[in-house]
Amino acid sequence: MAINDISLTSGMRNNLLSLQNTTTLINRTQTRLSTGKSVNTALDNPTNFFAAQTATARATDLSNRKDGMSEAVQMVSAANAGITGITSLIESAQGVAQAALATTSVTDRASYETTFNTLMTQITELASDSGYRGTNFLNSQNQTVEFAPATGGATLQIQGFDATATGLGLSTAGTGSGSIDWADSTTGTAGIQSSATQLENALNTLRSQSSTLSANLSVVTSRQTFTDNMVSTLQTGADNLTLADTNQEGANLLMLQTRQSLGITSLSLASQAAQAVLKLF
Amino acid sequence: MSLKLHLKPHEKIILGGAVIKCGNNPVNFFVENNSVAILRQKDIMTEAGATTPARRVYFVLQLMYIDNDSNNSKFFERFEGLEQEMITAAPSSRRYFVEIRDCITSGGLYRALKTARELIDYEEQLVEQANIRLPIKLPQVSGLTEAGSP
Repeated sequence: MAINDISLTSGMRNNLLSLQNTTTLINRTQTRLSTGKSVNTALDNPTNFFAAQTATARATDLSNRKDGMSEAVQMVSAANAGITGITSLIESAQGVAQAALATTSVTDRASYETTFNTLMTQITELASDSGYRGTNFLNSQNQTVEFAPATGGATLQIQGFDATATGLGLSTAGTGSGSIDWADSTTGTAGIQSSATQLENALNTLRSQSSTLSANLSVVTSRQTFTDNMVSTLQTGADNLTLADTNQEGANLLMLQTRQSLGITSLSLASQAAQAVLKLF
Repeated sequence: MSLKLHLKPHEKIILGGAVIKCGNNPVNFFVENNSVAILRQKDIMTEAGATTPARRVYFVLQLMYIDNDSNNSKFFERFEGLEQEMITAAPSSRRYFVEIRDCITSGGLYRALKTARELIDYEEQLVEQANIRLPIKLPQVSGLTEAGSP
């Protein structure tokens, strides 16, 4: 042990060295700055000055995209509220079918039919009312969301589906054509059971469509955040750009490097697959 | 549009989630579908190699590219954290970040990687410039002993 009693791991020593290194550098930079040398102004660096201007203009373009994204979020929210409502209507209809099964009276079953049909009508009305600004995902309408500054550069197509009673494959109850007869003395029970099956299928459809919508929603919201920050990247520091002192920047970067290497956050956020791939290099 | 690739002997390449290693003879081949992640050995950065702020930015973008997941918010967040730190330290690096973000937004992750490579070069210039202007004598390290060694 020639130097001292505390032995350092090589990683620690490297950090320590660059820390000492950086401190010296920063001190000298500060000294040079305080003497007023080599500070750029907008006048002697027109390139940076105009880069800053362009950045501000591009921020405006992106703000328009942000509007489109929040509209899409509203549309998905409206559809989602509709799905929640329709789900509870279907659950009520399931209750009606259960009650109809529990009785054998033809008169009672006929009155349950009426209640059931009212619920079917409400489902269709609710589906038609779930639009936002003319786009209704529950009436099979689609919406294309634009993310990139250039039109068509990056888009997400959100697909709607038909959530009306007919679209969900629900037949009305009764004797008309295409209806299922609950009140028939011989085939009534079988009819109610097939209605119950239709209701279950409709619920499954709603669940899977709802999860597709929420996947789309999370894409849009994460893009929204990204675009928000893009705008602030463009806007903030436009002044800094015109006043950048590259010598100080070099020193700052060294300091940042040291700080990052002392941090314990691992950079690896890759999937198992990507990690396995990178291990081979 | 197919992509023409030339591999030197024993050179490795990432091709859509597979790692392909060239044998003893050089190889030319074409990739017919350009929609998968393709990275040459010289462009691949390991986590151990991500030692500077700009290199970390490159590393995170590389993960995004290999995972083929440009909508993943965990990558976004990490990228943005690194971006903020770097822009604060070196405001003049902003123009690279603006371009990188454009590429990410329009799904051109490979171009984002190329720009990040330029950012690494730029960072080297800045640090070098600071070093030339302000020469520093590094302490001698040869006399120190490693932990665990006798």
